[in-house]
Amino acid sequence: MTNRLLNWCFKKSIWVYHANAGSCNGCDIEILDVLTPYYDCERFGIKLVHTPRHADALLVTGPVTRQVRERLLRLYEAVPDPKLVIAVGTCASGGGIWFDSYATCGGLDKVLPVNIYIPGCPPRPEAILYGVAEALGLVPAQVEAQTYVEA
Amino acid sequence: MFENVISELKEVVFCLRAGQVTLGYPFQPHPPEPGFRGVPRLDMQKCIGCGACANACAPRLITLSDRDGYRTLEFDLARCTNCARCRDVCPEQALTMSQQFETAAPSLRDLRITLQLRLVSCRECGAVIETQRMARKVLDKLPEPLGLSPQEVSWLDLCLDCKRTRAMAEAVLAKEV
Amino acid sequence: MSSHPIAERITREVGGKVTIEQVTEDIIFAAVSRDNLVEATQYIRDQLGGRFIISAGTDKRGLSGCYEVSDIFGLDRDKTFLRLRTEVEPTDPRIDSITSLIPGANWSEREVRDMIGVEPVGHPDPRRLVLPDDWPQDLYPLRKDFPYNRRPEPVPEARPNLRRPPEDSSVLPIGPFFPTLEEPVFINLFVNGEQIVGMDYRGFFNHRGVEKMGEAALTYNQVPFLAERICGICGFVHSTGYCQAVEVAAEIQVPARARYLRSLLLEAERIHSHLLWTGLACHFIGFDTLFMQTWRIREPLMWLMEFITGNRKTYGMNLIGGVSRDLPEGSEARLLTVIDKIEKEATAAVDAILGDGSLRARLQGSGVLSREEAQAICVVGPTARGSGVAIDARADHPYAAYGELDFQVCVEEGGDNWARTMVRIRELMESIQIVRQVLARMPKGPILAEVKDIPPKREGLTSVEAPRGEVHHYVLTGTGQQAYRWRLRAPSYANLQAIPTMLQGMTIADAPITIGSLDPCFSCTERVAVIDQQSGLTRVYRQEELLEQYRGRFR
Repeated sequence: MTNRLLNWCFKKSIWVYHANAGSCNGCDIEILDVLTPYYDCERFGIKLVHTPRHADALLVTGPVTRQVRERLLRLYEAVPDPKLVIAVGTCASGGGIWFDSYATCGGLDKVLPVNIYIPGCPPRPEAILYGVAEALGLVPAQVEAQTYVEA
Repeated sequence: MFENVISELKEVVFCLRAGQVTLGYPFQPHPPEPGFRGVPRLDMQKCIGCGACANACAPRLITLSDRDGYRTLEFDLARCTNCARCRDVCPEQALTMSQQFETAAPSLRDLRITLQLRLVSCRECGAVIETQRMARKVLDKLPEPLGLSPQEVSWLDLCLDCKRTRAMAEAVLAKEV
Repeated sequence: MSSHPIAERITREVGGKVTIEQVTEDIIFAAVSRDNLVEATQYIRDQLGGRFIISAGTDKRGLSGCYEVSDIFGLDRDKTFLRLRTEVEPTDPRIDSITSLIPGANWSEREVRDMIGVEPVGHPDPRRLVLPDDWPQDLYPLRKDFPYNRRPEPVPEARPNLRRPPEDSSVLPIGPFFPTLEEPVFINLFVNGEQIVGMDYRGFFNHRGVEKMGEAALTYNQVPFLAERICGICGFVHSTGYCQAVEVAAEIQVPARARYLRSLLLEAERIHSHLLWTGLACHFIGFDTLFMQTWRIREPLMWLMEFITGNRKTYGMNLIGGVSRDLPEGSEARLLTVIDKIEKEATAAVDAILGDGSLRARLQGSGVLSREEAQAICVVGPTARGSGVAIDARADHPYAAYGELDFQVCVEEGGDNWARTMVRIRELMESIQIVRQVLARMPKGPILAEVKDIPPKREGLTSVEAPRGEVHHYVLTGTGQQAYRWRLRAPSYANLQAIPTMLQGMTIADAPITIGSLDPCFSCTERVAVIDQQSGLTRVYRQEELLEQYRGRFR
């Protein structure tokens, strides 16, 4: 019963911590853009917090460079459960253009368990809002794998 | 002090004039501009498996592999940077950049496209020549009637090396060499 | 070989030591031996008035059997670049450091050591700069025998090599994840009760191996898309810089319409970047109203760029030889409407804040960088122009269509945060005017030159004025559709070195806005360097100020 109540609360007003794991900053600017008047995520109760210990979700951008990896793991451990990890942008989703570079780890899922991937270079602010809503189970996914075998 | 008050009043007027601008998204759609480069869409019927897109793709998310009579093209769209080079170089216009941007997915598998096309192999040595669709395309482009001898037509399903060997053998036989 | 008055002067005055190899209308390629490097650098700095831009280390063992270190200087008054190269034997990979002559060369030399392995002898701070802490010693990524995708095992228990704090001081660590920081960067402030006694800095958390990928993994026409993703705000600047460097190297004539289109997009990028900066700067000092309003003003421009190029930020238009797409139907009218509105709103916003006493009090008189300091550290962009140094790559080394346009270089004399703010606001208005000019004068015609082959072993240099300052690209063409060496220098690489000087005599509360007034782009810098500790960096401030500042961060 308590679990269900907590889960219900969790979806209502999610507090987000934004971490840049080596990204070019494009996705980070788009995340900040979601705060600005045209998109205004605060009307959904989503706000950016300044410490991971207050966060419900971790928004991570960037392909996770080698240098930042250890600190990112420590950051993840500082976020209390239950938590969501959201990979924002192509670099975090699949490693981007530098997925095989010597200096990167090749994407967020090589380092942390990811709940949802939001591809895009950079993803539009609307796409980020959609992705967060999808992570909360409020909207359905709109992509699925496609396969075709020639007869 | 007075200056301060005036400037603060101006700031208030500025904000009030701006008013409320928040978009209705997500309760109302906010479609992107035409020409927006969203997630790529592959027309499975048009693709001939030439691999020009794989050559041009900067994140190298398109891979081609030939096995068991099929050429497999895999697109790992999680890595797509939406640069549209694949669309620009595709000779068949099989790739288009859609308007779709709501592409969040819980698993990377949802962002994959796999296409398998039949291959044509050399009837002499079995090496892969090209896909069947490419071969048909070549035939379609050749003028009618074909200005080839019946022997040359029979070489159409040989790979380049075997063609050369055959041509050399024929030339020796005809004492041209 | 064409002639150049500066090249002739060099031959006359130091011809025995410096050899001129090749000369174009605006680039001089020269060579010097290891023994004469310091003297030649002094000559260039003092007699020619050269401004140090960057050093590039190249592994040319496959071509000429040695390593090569090239120092690139800008002779701005003469609208020329000077590339001075030195060959280094692989058996003795050392070179004399020029940092004592030119403080701005500090990071470049350390980066050459990290990436190629040429040791700068006499360098005041020979610590690791670029590579991750757990990267093995003696493994140099930019050497040709290192594959770009090799990931060596991490060195266990690796820690950053930070300076010890002075006696009787405690450490105030900031980062790498921090509320006002958009990018990971680590700053250690050494505080002694009421005094700041120093700082140390470990950056390069954004090092992704851009240059190695551009040489080893991607072909010529794929690299502009890589370059665009170096930075999330000034991406087009980098892709233009790379394309221009290759075009200079291969002597490709870019069609006029393509040059005008590039200028148009560059100025649009400048407008949105300066509005973004104004918002962020207000965010740093707690003035969130203006943060929201400037970003609101900026948003229609982002939608417009999505209409014109297909994406809000990564335009994806540059290819070697021009641009790949033309303006869609109706762009001009829409562009004029949007920038008219931005001009009106930005003017109203600026008018409203100019009289704001608290804003002035925060910005005026803080973060002062004198003109002499700005020139010694070789800063660029609004940071330099705010201190009275009138350099602007659009005027000094004209590229794209800027040679044919009329515009002002905005300079302020104050050298403080307020001066830099005013420079950016004036530049914003100037950019709007430039966009109108470009639209009025844009010629018709092709937008992409036909490029058959790019010959190997040619060098190209170019500077592009990013919103943050001068971006410099150097390309040495190679075989097989790939560049042999690509070296890029972002403006923040030079500007961040000015932080200790600017923070001198400041409160911690003013530190974020001072650093922010440089408009630092750590991912552009990509190998953000360590700042020299300046002991004697003292400022007496009350304990309550320190605590309040610290608490204020966790709003």
